[in-house]
Amino acid sequence: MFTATVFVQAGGIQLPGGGVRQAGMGGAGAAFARDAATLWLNPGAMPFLRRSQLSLGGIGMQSHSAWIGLPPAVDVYRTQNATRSPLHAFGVWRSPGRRWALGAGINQPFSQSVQWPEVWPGMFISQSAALRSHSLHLAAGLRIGQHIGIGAALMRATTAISYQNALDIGTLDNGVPSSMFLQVRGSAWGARAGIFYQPNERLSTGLSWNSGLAHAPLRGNAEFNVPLSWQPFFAPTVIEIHQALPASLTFALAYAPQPSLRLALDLRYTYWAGSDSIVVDYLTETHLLQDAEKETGFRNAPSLRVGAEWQPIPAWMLRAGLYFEGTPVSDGFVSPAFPGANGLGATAGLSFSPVETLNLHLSFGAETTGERLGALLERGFAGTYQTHTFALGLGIDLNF
Amino acid sequence: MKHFYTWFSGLVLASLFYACVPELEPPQMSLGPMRTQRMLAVGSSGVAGVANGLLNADQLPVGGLYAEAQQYAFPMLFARQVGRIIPLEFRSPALPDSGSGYQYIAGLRPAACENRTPLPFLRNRAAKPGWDEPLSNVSGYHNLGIPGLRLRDVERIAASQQNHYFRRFAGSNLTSYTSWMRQQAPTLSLVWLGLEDAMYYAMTGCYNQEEFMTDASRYEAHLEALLAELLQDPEALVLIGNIPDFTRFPFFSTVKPMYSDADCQKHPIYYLNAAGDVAVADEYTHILLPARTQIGTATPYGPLGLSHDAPLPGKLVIDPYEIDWVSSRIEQYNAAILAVAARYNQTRTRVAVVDLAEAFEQIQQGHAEGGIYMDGAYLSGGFFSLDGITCTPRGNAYIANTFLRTAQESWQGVQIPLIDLGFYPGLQYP
Repeated sequence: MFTATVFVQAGGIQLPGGGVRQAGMGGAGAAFARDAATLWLNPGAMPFLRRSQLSLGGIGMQSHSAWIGLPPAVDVYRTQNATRSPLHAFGVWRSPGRRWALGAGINQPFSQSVQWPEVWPGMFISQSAALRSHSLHLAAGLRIGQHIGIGAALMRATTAISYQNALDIGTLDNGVPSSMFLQVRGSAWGARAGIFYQPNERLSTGLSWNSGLAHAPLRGNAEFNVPLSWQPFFAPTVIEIHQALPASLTFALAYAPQPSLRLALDLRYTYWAGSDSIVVDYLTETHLLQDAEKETGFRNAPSLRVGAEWQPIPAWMLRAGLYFEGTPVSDGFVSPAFPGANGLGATAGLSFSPVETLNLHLSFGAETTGERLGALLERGFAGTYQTHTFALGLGIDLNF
Repeated sequence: MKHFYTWFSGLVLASLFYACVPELEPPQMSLGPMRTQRMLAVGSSGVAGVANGLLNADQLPVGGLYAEAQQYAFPMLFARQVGRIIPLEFRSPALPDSGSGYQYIAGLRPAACENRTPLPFLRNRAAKPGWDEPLSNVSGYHNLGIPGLRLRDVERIAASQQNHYFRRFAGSNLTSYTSWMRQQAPTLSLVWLGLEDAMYYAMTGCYNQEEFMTDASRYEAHLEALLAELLQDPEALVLIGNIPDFTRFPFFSTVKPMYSDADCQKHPIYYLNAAGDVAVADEYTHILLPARTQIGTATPYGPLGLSHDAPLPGKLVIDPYEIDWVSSRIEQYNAAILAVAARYNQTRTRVAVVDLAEAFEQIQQGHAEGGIYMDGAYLSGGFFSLDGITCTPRGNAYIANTFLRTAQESWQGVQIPLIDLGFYPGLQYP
């Protein structure tokens, strides 16, 4: 019996989602009313922006994962990962009196791509996997009194997943393993809400909630590359996958001990346990292709992001940040499809404003998960994983 | 300038980050006290690499050893792992092309019943003419497995003369198997021998008295004699596999007690039991694999096996009493292996017993390892070959891993990487 062994896991899949400025600050910024990324981070902060703004950018990310089997295994296998380039465009227009604001934007809050060798010990679980989710947002924020802002956003997301694994029914004539490839897409509605509180010029705090994406079934095709004798039993078929992407709650603080220095802290809690199963439906079910409901073993996971921004001279800003990203992948459910482990990251960034209406941003980031000894118990597949991720961001703000 | 320096430093840092791929440190490999200068494989069909064999008119295995199968013999796979630590030459006396003949999967078709499961249909590949001609050069080989060899025959010269493989591999100066081993002076031996001493009798339905099971005391005596030759070198070591419960192999356990006809209607199966009476097969009856193609064939008294007047002959069935008898003999063989090993292990472990009985039992329960799944089912399990008694390449890899694990547990310092089972095929399909 064969099922799509899709484990859409979270190691590195959920991105901070903000702009290049936030990327240089460890991804923190939900208590910052600095730029149009508040549309995503905390819509309640939008009315507090000094200027209306259009923010464009992209963050190129490349991850490298390695795996070695249980001792006395000696062979290390590495991924050849594609570069992900989540792009974003945020526009916030705030009222002249800074009483309310409207925003629209697009970003990519979930992204992952991993490519293992075609022949490796885990090939029957995963050879390649990719997930991309693009979100379109419409947001509104309202200032209540002098210090409080509330906001909400509606988002429409389109998610695409592709997955390939080898099938254990022999090799093709050229020696390549049999394989299954599936590609599905779907759309979903989501929502965000935020509260922003700025009692004075130095201190601000925020609480932001993201509903996640409860997709209608992601629908697409499953295709098979199998020996000739098996082909009548593996005809291409339509496949549906029921997969939710999680909700999250973020608490944030920002503090400016002096006018040129700002510190930020974001604590996010992601409800991955709500995505505790994946359902796979084959439109044409056969004895070998069976619908299945797979337990994901996800657990809720925290992340902590801290960042600092320093403006030594008016035209320049320097940034640095650190973050911890907890993995939702439980022991016993660690799959090579999306290697999940707790991650520690460091970031740096800088901005240059040649004129008041223009900001140019650059950010760097590096993350390592450390070594995680993990097993996918159902498949008897275990080993030590490690992932390094590097990110380079470029962005531009137009202030008006 | 200061700003440029900051910018430039950032890019350099970025480049360093980009270069940092994860490094996982593998453990040091080591053979420990195992000396592999002269590593041998000693035994019978399982050692030689027999797979997808055929049956003769007496319902005994023939064929199944051919060039490709020899490459997947478990000692060969064991040697490849050792060869990752030190250069190692390990050669089998090769058979050409189709060797002694074998079965293969010619295609798949949906089963008439049982949810239209794809079922392989099989064809035979004829033996290569001249496959059993004696080799001109019989030295320099390491896999000395002889298909069909029984432990009770290891000291009989006549047995070696009757065995086609022995004649080919050992050359014209035929001697007994034990004497042949005396000439080898191994430093490390992989041994698996004795399965056939009971299994061949069971394969004939406990019917063929000429294949009667070797008694346990004689089994132990011959094993002692054989190991004495393999342990002449005071530093030599042996890994010896014990005997799994072969009554659970697909050859003995695939055919169900109810027969499904072309309309998927089920019918009871009749057979002649050990007492000579006609009995109805039940869940405790072991109908042998050759019966699969014979049940329902026309006889003057009705369809074979489906009529009280045309019961399956005794050679196609083993009833519960016979199974108990055979299982008991397997236990005695395994006790003998332990006893002989203990005599050599007084001061240190020289003979490590590889618990293949437990390893095969894990397969019967269903075994997930390295992302693949195997069980003991015929055709679908991925472990047993088409003859229902020998192993697929993946099954042999599993056996080799069991030997490797035992070496690691028995001798300090042994760190040999295990085989990734997924790299080896189960059954092979066109």
